[in-house]
Amino acid sequence: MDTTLFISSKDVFLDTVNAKDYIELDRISAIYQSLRESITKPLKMVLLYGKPGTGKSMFLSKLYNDLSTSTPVYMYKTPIIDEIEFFKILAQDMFDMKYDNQLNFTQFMKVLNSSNMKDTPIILLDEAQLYPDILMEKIRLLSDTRKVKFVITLHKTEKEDLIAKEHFKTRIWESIELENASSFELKMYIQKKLMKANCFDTANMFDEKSVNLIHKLTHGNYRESNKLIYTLFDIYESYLIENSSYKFNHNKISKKLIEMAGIHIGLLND
Amino acid sequence: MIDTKKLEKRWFKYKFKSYLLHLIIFVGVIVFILSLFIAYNMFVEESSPIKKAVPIVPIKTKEINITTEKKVIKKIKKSKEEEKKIIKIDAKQLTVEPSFNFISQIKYDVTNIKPEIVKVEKKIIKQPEVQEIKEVKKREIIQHHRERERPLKIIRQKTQQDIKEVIKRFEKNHNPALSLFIARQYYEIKEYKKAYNYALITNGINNDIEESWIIFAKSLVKLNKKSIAIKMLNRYIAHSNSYRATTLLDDIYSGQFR
Repeated sequence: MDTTLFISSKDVFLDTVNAKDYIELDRISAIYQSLRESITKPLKMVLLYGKPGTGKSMFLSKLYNDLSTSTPVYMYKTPIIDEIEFFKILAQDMFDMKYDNQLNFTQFMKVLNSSNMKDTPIILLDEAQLYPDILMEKIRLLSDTRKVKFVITLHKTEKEDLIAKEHFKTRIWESIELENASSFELKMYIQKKLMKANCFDTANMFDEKSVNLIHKLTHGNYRESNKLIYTLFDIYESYLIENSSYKFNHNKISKKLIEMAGIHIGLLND
Repeated sequence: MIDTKKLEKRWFKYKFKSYLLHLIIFVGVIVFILSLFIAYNMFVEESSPIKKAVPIVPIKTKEINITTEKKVIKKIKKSKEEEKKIIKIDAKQLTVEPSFNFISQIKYDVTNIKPEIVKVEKKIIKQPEVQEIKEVKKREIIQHHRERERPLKIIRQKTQQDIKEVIKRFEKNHNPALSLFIARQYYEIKEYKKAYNYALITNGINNDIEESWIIFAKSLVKLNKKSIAIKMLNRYIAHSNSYRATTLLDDIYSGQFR
C-alpha cells in the first residue's frame, strides 16, 4: 500500500456535508423515505431532530438534492439570525424579488399571501435551534398560512425540546428522530463510504473487531467516527512518510493506531 | 501530518494507565474473593457441628504428640493410677483369698492348692483381658503419633507385643516359666498390678520359684501394700531361707526399697 491510498481514504472522511457523500443504509434509507412521504402530505412543518453528528444536515442536504429538480425548495444551512435579513432573503429566493429596502414580517406575509404559486415551496432550515425565539414564532405563523412548508432540524437537548414544544407542538406534522449508528451500521457506513471512493483495500481492512473498537470510542456517532477514521488514516500516512520502523498489517486496521487516533482527537485520555 | 513519535508516547502512557487500572481491579477482585473465601471458611468452621468433634482426637493426640518422654511417662502414670483404682477393687478379691491360703498349704498339701488356683486363674485371667483393651487403646494413640514418638513407641510396642504373645502361649500350656516371664516384664515396665497377678499365678503353679516371690513382694510394695509384702516375704523366707528374699525384706524395712 502506498501513501496515496491512505490519503484518498483519509479524504473520504473529511467532515463535510455533501449530498453526494450520503451513504444508504437500511435504517437511514427507511427514515429518509419516511421524510419524503411526509413532505408530500399537507403538512405545516416537519421536525428532524437528534444529537449532533447523527446526520441531520446530511439528511437535509440529501432532501434538497433530491427535491430541487422537481419542487421549489430552498435550503438554509446557516441560520439567518437577523429577522429583516431572513425575510429579505426568503423573498429574493422564493419570488425572485430584490429588496433594496428593509422587508419586515408583515410585508413578507403580504407578498406571500398575494403570491400565486403552483407548488408549495419547501424551506429547509438547518440548525434551527440557533434562531431567535421571536423569529421562530414568525416562522410558525408563516407555516400557518400553508403557503409554505418548513423542514427544520434541531439538536436534541432539553432546551431544544422546549423550543419544539413551544413553537411547533400544534404545527408539526411529523417529527423524525435520528440516532447514532449501531456497530453493524457503522461497519457498513465505513466500508460503503470507502468503496464509493474506490478505496477497496482500506475498506477491507475494517473487520468487525476494529469497527467495534471505533464504535466503542465514538458510540456510533457519524461525525465522531468520520473524525476518528480521518485521523487514523492520517497516522498511517504519517508513518509511511516518516519511513518508520513500525510494521503495518495490511489486512487489518491496527488497534494501536485506532487508539492513537482516539487519543489524538480526545476520545481517549492519555 | 501527525507527530507519530509524540503520539506513540501518549499511547504508551495511556496503555500503562489502562493496564494499571486493570491490574488494580484484578488484584482488588482477588483480594475480595480471598477475603470472602477466608470469611466463609471461618464461618463454616465456627458453625459446623463437626468442628466440635474434630478437635477431640487432636487434643488427645496433642498430649501425646507433644511427646517429650516426660509427658508420655505422665500419661502412663495416669493410666497406672487408674489401674491402681482397679487393683484396689480387685486386690480385695485377689490378694486375700489366693495368696494367704495357698501359702499356708505349701508345706502340707500341694495338690489341694489346685482348686484355689483355678479360682485365682479365673479371676486373674480377666485382668489381662481388661488390660489388653487398655493397652490396645494406648497403642492406637501411640500409632497416631508414630512419627513424633517413634523411639518410645517402638520400645513399648515391642514389649507389649512380646508379653501378649507370651500370654497367649501361657494360656495354652500354663508353664510357670512363661508366667514368670510375664510378671518380670510387667514389673520392668512398671505394670505392678499385672506383675503381681502373674507372680501370684506363677507361685500358684510352682511355689518354689524365688524370683516369682521377689516380684510378688516388690509389686505389693509398689502397690502400697507394704505390710502384706512383709508378711508374704516372712512366710516365704521361713519356707525357703532365701537370701534374696531376706535382703529384700531388710530393704523394705529400712525403706531402701519403696
